[in-house]
Amino acid sequence: MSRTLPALLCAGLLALALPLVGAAPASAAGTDATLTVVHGVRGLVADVSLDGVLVLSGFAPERVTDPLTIAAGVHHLQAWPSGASQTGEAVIDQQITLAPGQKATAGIGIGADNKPVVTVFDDGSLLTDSGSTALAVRGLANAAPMRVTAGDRTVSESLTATKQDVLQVTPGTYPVAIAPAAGGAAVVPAQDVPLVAGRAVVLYLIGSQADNTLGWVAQTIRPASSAAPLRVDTGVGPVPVAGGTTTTALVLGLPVGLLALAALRRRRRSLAA
Amino acid sequence: MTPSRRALAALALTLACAGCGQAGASRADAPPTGPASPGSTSPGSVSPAPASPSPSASPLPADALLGSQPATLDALRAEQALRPVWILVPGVNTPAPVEARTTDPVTGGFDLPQGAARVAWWASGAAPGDAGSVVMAAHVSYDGQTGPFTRLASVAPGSVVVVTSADGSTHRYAVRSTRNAPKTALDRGELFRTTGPAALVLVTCGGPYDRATHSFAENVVVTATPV
Repeated sequence: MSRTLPALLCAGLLALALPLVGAAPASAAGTDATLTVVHGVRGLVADVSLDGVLVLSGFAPERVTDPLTIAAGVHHLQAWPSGASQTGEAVIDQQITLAPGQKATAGIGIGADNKPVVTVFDDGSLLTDSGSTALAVRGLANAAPMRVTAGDRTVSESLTATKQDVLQVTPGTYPVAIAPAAGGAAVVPAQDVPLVAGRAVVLYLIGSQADNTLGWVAQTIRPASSAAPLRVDTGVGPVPVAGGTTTTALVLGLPVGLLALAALRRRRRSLAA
Repeated sequence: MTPSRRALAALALTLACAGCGQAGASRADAPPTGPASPGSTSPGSVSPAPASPSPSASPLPADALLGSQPATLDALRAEQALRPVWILVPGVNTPAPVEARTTDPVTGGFDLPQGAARVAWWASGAAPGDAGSVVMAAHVSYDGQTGPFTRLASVAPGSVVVVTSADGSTHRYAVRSTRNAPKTALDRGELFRTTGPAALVLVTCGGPYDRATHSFAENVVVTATPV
């Protein structure tokens, strides 16, 4: 074979393959990002502003917001005790940075000084395998490193504030338990956490170990609409005509069955003889 | 490297890129800055605010007040318990089991169970009670077997479809429309809508059957709304 033919063949296949690249749906990147806020500070009902605009009024602990689509870039997040003057000192005053197309959650927790602090976690990486389900744990607590287990599997060897660990699991219900990473008894009793296919569940460890107030807040993360199926193939073989299968079985099966029966009887007679 | 080997290498690279594009199609929300792989990660970018903050993004609208929901474990359990487990389409099937399924990460198609007996619910989308469309699909036929959606195209307008969730709650939807659409021209944005008014969308195959490709040319799409 000449060298030209394989080259031409490959060029042809390349031409076929190139449109596939172009066929990929546009990335959600653009110039926007999506931000969700989780509140993990017990006892603080807050008014929250972003870039000077009030986005949450009376935001209570152990709640999660609807996602907010905002321009990617640097944003100024502030919070005050609900009803307090927004010209007064804020209990949270931080900048957060969101990349174009990023899907993120800002978790409000407490730092080592027991003061509220915001940690931004990236949510996009939680849904990389739609065939399984992600269980993520994130630290928002003032606590020693914790070992987190889901049934007989380890989710995190050492969960600390601002850290995240992820475990891909099959859907089901898992007892999630927390114990000090250094060893010792559970600090929070095991609690059942249900996981459904195609959705990620994030557990935020909140509270203070010293105050014996550790616990979980939970968030479900679903993929972007761009993760919707490209096709729905719902037919394997033609639809059988009503009665067709039975008729065919009778037409083909009856003579075969009669022949087999006759052969069996002949064999029994010969054995008896 | 010979010209043919170069061409083959280019082909392999191109196909690899095409594969990346396809895979990325179902995960376009991944940040472009290289998110951490599963496992331990560091937090996103946070820093104390400067004395005079100067956000680079455009300002938020004044009416950007956000809603919020409980984030307790009990709330999570209640939410997950809304997953559909049974569906009854009057005149079309007897109560049929529903299974949570997702987008196939390899093919990008709806990953349906084998056989025609079970109905797949697109678990990454809406559940009963959520905004957006609850999407369910089942094979019209499977190796000569029929199933709960085999006669879906004949469902009468106004018929009330009953969906039962894992917590035992029932959700009723009245059929508003039945249409056939070429498989290659599905309006994915509308079909798998995750926001907006609640709806139930049922999908199976229809139209001409191609024995060469073992595939139907069209999808039958039934849309119903809560009653």
